[in-house]
Amino acid sequence: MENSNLIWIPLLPFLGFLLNGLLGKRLGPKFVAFVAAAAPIGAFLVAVGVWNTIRAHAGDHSEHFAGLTQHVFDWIHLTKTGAGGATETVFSAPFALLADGLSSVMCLVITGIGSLIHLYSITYMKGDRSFHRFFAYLNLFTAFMLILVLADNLLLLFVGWEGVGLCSYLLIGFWFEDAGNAKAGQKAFVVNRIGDFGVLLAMFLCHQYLGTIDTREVLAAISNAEVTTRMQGFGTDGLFWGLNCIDWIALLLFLGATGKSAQIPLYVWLPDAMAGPTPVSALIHAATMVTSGIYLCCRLMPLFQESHTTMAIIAGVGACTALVAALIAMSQNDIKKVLAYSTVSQLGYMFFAIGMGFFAAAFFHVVTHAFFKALLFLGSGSVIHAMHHEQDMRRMGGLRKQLPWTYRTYLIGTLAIAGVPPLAGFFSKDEILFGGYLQTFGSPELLEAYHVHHVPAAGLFWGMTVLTAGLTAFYMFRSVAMTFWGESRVEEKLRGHVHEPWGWITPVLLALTVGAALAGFLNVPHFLGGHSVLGHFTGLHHAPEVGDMKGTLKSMEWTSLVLSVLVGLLGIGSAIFLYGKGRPVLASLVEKSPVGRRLQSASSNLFWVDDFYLLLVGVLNGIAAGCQMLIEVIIQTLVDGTAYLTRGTGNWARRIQTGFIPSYLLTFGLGVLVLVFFLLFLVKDAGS
Amino acid sequence: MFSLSAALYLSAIIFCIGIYGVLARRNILVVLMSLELMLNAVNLALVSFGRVYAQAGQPGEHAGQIFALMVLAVAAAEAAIGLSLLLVIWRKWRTIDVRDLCRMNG
Amino acid sequence: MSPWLQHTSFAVIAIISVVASLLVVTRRNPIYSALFLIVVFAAMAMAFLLLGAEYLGFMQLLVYAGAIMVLYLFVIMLINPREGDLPDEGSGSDRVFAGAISLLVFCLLQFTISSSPRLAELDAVMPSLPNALAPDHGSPAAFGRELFREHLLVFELASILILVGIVGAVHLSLRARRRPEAETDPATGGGKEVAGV
Repeated sequence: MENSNLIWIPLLPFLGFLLNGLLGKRLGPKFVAFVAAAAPIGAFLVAVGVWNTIRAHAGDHSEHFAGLTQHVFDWIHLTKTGAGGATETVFSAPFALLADGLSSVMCLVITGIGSLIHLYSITYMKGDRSFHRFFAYLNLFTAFMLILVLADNLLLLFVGWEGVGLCSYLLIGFWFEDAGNAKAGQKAFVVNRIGDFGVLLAMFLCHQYLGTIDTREVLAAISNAEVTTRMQGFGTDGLFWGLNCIDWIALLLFLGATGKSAQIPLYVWLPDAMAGPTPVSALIHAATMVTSGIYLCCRLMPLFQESHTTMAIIAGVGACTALVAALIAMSQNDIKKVLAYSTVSQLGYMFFAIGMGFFAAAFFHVVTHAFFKALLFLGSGSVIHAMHHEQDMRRMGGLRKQLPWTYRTYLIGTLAIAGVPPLAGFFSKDEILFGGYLQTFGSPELLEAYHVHHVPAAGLFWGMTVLTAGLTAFYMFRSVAMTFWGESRVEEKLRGHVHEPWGWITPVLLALTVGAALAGFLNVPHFLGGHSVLGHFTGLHHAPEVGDMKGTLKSMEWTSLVLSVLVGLLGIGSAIFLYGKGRPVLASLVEKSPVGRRLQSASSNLFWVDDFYLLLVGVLNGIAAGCQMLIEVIIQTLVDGTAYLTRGTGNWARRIQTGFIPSYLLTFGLGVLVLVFFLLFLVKDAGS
Repeated sequence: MFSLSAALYLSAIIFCIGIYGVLARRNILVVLMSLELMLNAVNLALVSFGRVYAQAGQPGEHAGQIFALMVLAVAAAEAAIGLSLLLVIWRKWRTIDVRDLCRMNG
Repeated sequence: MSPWLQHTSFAVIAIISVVASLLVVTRRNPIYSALFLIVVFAAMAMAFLLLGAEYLGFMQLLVYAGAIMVLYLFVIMLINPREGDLPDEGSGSDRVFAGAISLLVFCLLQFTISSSPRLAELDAVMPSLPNALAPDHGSPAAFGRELFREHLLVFELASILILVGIVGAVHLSLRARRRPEAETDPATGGGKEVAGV
């Protein structure tokens, strides 16, 4: 159904980028702030309108309502004139937008939380030399993210995909005068690029084998019989490990997702990305950009559901990432690094859910995570700001008296992420864990009812995520304890200057707290009395037909719920116990046990992943240097050798020019001899 | 007239004597003179051939002789120039030794 | 002319020219070489006359012996080489080498002459050929007729060549004028420089 307002959602932030970028410097910070905030707020209002329209239509459950579309212009349109003069489209990638349940909710999240973060940044970045540049980039990022979400074909989505990668690089390295920040930005971009390679290959495969890159057509093509026959030849000769085309498309898309959403093996850029300003971390690396990988998977849900191998891989990677990241977070002392690894871990949760087949749960977690993670990041930003850019928690402590509102909002965010009911995190996390529980303990009929395919080693993965839940609660409370509780370890001269921040900071924190608290009610599951509103609205959730297994199901649901809450409380309890006095007690305990020590060193060394990558890069550099040397040798030999040869021959040959007349005469004589000889014996009829 | 082969043999002998003179002698004057000797030998051969062909009825009765006259003209011009050069060399370096003229080496 | 006379004359000419040319290349004093060369030219002129090239024979004497050799003698006199100016004649190895080459060339030429079938043919046929020569063959008139009719271009080119030779020789051998205002009479040809060369 056509709707001509869709374009305004990404267009307003884009205009904001243009205005602030081109005129911002001249027109001063007040202008910049106004434009920068007005753009996402305006987009939010349009998004609300769109969402409303969709809601109205979705109410009648009409099968034909596939969302609102807007064809803005023909971007790429290649046609071929076939026999008989009929033009057929060879490749078409229009700039066309699609707003359905899924994308409209994403838009709301992006513009809503985005607006809040823009407001927060007005205060946070006050006085910065490049005030206008920051907001220009931030608006640009928002515009690209919205394009990504609203795109109706893979190529346009990829435009948004790359665009947010670009803005991420620009914003991470915002204070580029410090070489470390610039390097962090570079790392993010390069690692992302590896993932983008996967997305590109997937697009090519889509075009080649499915004949289209329009998302709806792709999904339609999967079940098309004609297309399946075309795919028969793919992967049957063992070249592609027996995986067929759909498997590969899904796998390559997931590779792209690991890059953007910081999973193993491409997560290494996210912790380094903390070099950017805190609002950037909040917006890009907590709420929006990193979730684009999950969005992609949800957008192409039927495609992924077709590929059981990829789903298993996704589940495994998600679970492992979640656990490893949580383990690393436990030993971090920089407050932002803790949150960064926490983000990686939570993203792992989302992918775990997707891999298990519970797309709705994953998306739900995206929404709730956006709220409480943004809250946590902004809260930490408030702390950092108050502490005059001190980020090491070991030099904090007892800040709850000096920063009361920050403390309260941060605490609620922590409770949310720990999964304490009835906050948002509890609901979404519980759904994810339940998905794992079902895969582990559920009967095949039950899994069928949920339209979910059994994942091998599901039990192992589920166990890892449960453990991670406990660890999450633990390290988050550890950060709360080290920062806000106990006695102050703050440096003497700083102590007096720590005060609650002013301006937009506190109101935004409060707004996000409301969201963190209430967002959970968007998708209350059936057994708790809700209707899974979000899941239905986005089309990701279909009520399972359980029939007579209702009883088993209900007991399973309650068991899982109790388990997750217990694990969370256990984590919180141990954290309070060990850090309650405000001192890092765990450190001394760990030192006493050899296993603990090894674990601690592994954790604080980030499991040596970054070192491994550096080694890899070093090896590649070495190979490149070797090749260069080889080429230089070859070229040296060829070029210099030729010159040498010429010179040498010339030198040798010029000895005939003696200037000595008798020798010249001799040469004449010899020449005559040769000539006569030649004429006599070697030329026919010369002698006669 | 006598046989053509005899004339040619004579011409060859004088020619080779001329070659010896050109290669073996160091005095520029003698070298130049040997050169004249060689040219003369060639003239003899030309005229002999011309006579034989004229007698055999070939068109161009005096072809050989005319050719020999041209050789004569060339020899004259060459001798003139060569001797002028010799004069210049004598004035400059006071030598008539062929081996002393080796400044134009590469 | 009877064949016997012809053959004898030729033999005499041959001996004289060979001996004289040998003497040309072996004398130390260049004057002697020049004089023997004149002898060779005279012998050649005789040979030309024998062959019926009268005009050419006299031209040979006039030009070669009368002009070129005179030029040679003039130059020798101008240079006036003393005993010390004459170069030491070549070492034994040089002579052997030169001799070897000239011998080689002679062998080749001899081989050509002796093995050429056409030449043998001509030799055999020669005596029996009717003498197709015109009575004035070789005379200046006949020579000139043919020269200026059939070979005019060559003649012109030769005259240009001689012109070049003249100009070159004059230019090369004149000394640079030291006193531009003193207009020297071209007939005396730069009189001041001649003495002492």
